[in-house]
Parts: sequence; C-alpha cells; structure tokens
Amino acid sequence: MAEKYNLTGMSDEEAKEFHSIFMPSMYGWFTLVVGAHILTHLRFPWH
Amino acid sequence: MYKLWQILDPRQVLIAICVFLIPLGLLIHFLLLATEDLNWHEDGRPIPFKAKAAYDRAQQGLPY
Repeated sequence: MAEKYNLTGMSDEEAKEFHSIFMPSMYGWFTLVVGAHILTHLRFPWH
Repeated sequence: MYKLWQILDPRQVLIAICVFLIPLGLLIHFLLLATEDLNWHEDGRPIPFKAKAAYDRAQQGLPY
C-alpha cells in the first residue's frame, strides 16, 4: 500500500537517512534565524 | 514523517528552499536598507570615528 506512494524511488532507509539530516538542519536554521532576530532587536530595536 | 521523501524529491525540495529563501532574504535586507530609520549603514551608530574625535577634542577645549 505504502509502496504505491513512493514517487521518488527512495527506500525507507534512504528516506530515514535524509530525514535525519534534514530535520536537525532545519531546526538549526530556525535557531540561527531566531537568534539573529533577538540579537538585532537588542541592538537596534525596531518597535 | 520520513516517508515525505518518498513523495517529494529531496533535490527539488532543497533547490526550492534555496530559490525561495535566498531572494526573500535579499529582498528584506534591501527593503530595510531603503528605509530611513531601519538602514543600519547610515544610522550613525556607532558614532563615526571623525565625529567622535571632533567631540572628544571639543570636550578638551581643542580647536576643530
């Protein structure tokens, strides 16, 4: 059933491996962005 | 959740993220630089070296 929706041809293991890299990278990016906004607002408050 | 990558091609997703976020970041930065009060290049902070030097000299009673 699930195989029917495999459009990229990635195996479960490959998908898990990519996911294990993608998600921490995304959270790291979000952390960086939020931190940059906090620091910027501390130095140059815009409201 | 990992099964997302069996539906969406990781290469296309990463390219789409880059194509979306890079122009968005550039756009926001240039929009801010184009404003008067949010332009961090011309807001006088920190005080320019020449202005501070002139202020310090004035405080000491020195000319110019």
